[in-house]
Amino acid sequence: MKLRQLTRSDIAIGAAVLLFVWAALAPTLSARSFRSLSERAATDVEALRAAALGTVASSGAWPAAAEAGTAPPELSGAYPGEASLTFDDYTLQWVGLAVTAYEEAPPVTFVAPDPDEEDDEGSGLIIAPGDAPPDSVGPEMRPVVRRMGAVLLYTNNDALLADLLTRYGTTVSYVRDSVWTLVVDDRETSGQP
Amino acid sequence: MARKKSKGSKKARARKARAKESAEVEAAASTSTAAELDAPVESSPPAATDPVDAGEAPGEDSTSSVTPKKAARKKPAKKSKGDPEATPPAAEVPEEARAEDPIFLDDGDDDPADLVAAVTARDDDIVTIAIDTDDDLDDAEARERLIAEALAFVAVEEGEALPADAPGANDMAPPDEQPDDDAVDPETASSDLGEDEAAASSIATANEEGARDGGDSAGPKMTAQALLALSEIHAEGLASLPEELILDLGEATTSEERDRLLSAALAHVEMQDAVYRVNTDTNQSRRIKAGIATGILLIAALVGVRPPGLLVPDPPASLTQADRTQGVRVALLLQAQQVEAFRVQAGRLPNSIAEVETSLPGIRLVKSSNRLYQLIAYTSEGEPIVYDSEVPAPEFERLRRTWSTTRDGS
Repeated sequence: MKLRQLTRSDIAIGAAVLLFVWAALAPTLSARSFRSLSERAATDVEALRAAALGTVASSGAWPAAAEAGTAPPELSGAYPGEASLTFDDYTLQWVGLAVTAYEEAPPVTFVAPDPDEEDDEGSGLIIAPGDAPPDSVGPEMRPVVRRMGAVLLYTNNDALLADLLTRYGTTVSYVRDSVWTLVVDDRETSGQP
Repeated sequence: MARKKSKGSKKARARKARAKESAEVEAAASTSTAAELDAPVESSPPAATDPVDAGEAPGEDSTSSVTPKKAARKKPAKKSKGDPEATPPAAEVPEEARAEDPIFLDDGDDDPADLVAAVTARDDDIVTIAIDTDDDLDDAEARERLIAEALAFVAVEEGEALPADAPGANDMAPPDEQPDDDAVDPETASSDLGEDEAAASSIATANEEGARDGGDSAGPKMTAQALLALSEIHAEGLASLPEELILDLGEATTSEERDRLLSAALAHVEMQDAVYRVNTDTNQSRRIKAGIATGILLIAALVGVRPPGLLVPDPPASLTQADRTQGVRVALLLQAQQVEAFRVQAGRLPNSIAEVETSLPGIRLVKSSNRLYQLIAYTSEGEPIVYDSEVPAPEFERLRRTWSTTRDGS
């Protein structure tokens, strides 16, 4: 059939067939597109996380916090540009966290009282008669400040937030509003997906 | 117009019945083959030769080919495989006729007058008209009816348009009494389509009538009005014509009769032209195609709105309300860690949340004393979640154990 002989009915059938094909393939294409987006986001998050951990390992200090979309100065070599952390569908941010931890304080010295010395200051705690024995006292814990970091991902794509939450787990990451946060700690590796 | 068509249709049915009888008689008498039928297309009699006047029976080689413009343009005339009865015996062909070139009445300007003029000039010839189109002709009944109506209407138009002093006009009956004077020879009219027996018999029937009662009638002239009327017939949605219509004027004994045959052929040509000019879709096929398109559209819409599981991959994870609530609690817990870190470093509580190093958005700090504070955040539903530093909620304790174990390894 020649092209000029196509009737409106023929064109309508052709258009309907095309629409049907599009409707049939749309879910698969959409899912494939989302998987690609999720993979890209996870790759970018991992790159930022690895760069921060590398900085800690090399210099002993975490990168400083930066604005959303902007890489910290310590990572400027890996992320050149002012908006190097801004991507098509999401924006990354690096922030520093300070958390309290409790560590064991230095043990207290217990000394027996010396009747010849009147001043026992500085030699330790004097065990008075009737006190519990020194080995019965537990270690003293004191708070200390530890530093960590976090990668924040801003997006309006709830599916991407959920996918990242599933990928990294709920013990080191969480979602609040339109932000997914991954806590990065140099003393554990459970944050890796 | 409608009245004439209706009349023509009735008469066409009558002619069809008579044509079947005629075809049976003629089938016994004719032994011509399809190959013999093709021969006239390639040779023509001399212009001055009139086989009838010469007393010779018309032969296949004494016929001329009238090739309509469209048919000639689209493809060469098909080798006729039609009714062998339509071909006169080859032995009766005059020798002069074999030397002549075919008559092609196509000047390319779509002017029917040229065709008529040429046919008139070849008035004495025995003409075989091969009209060939390569369209699909799938509706034999409509085709048959159309041909019958066209031929009948042409005859009527001819009779009305013929001047009173025209040759043969005195012999022509009034149009009302003689509307079916078709000029197609019943013995030679045929269709090239093997499956188009009905159309061929219709033509034959029309020719039979023409031969019986119209042999002495007025000589026809194909008028523009008649051609216009034929175009209108097709424009009204009637089906297309046979691909090839073969008319043999060998049996025509008078010039008027041959003119009538040629007029019918010209009408056929005009109808074929109309077929090419307008869309070939019939109402029925349009309805069928529209139904198919609608069905596919409905299926597409159904697939688009509710695709079957086969076409849908695993859906991506979605955020639940529990995920969002836990996110608020984890944020409060992290913010409390920032406040405690501030207290360890500064020896006091911050006056506002902005005083700590990292303040998470959407969290408010309320100090109840120099040692106690509360952190407040809201879920997406507006439900407040409070972290009390003195007695954190059990959910925070569970989270603290998980996170502190993960963080500190303790």
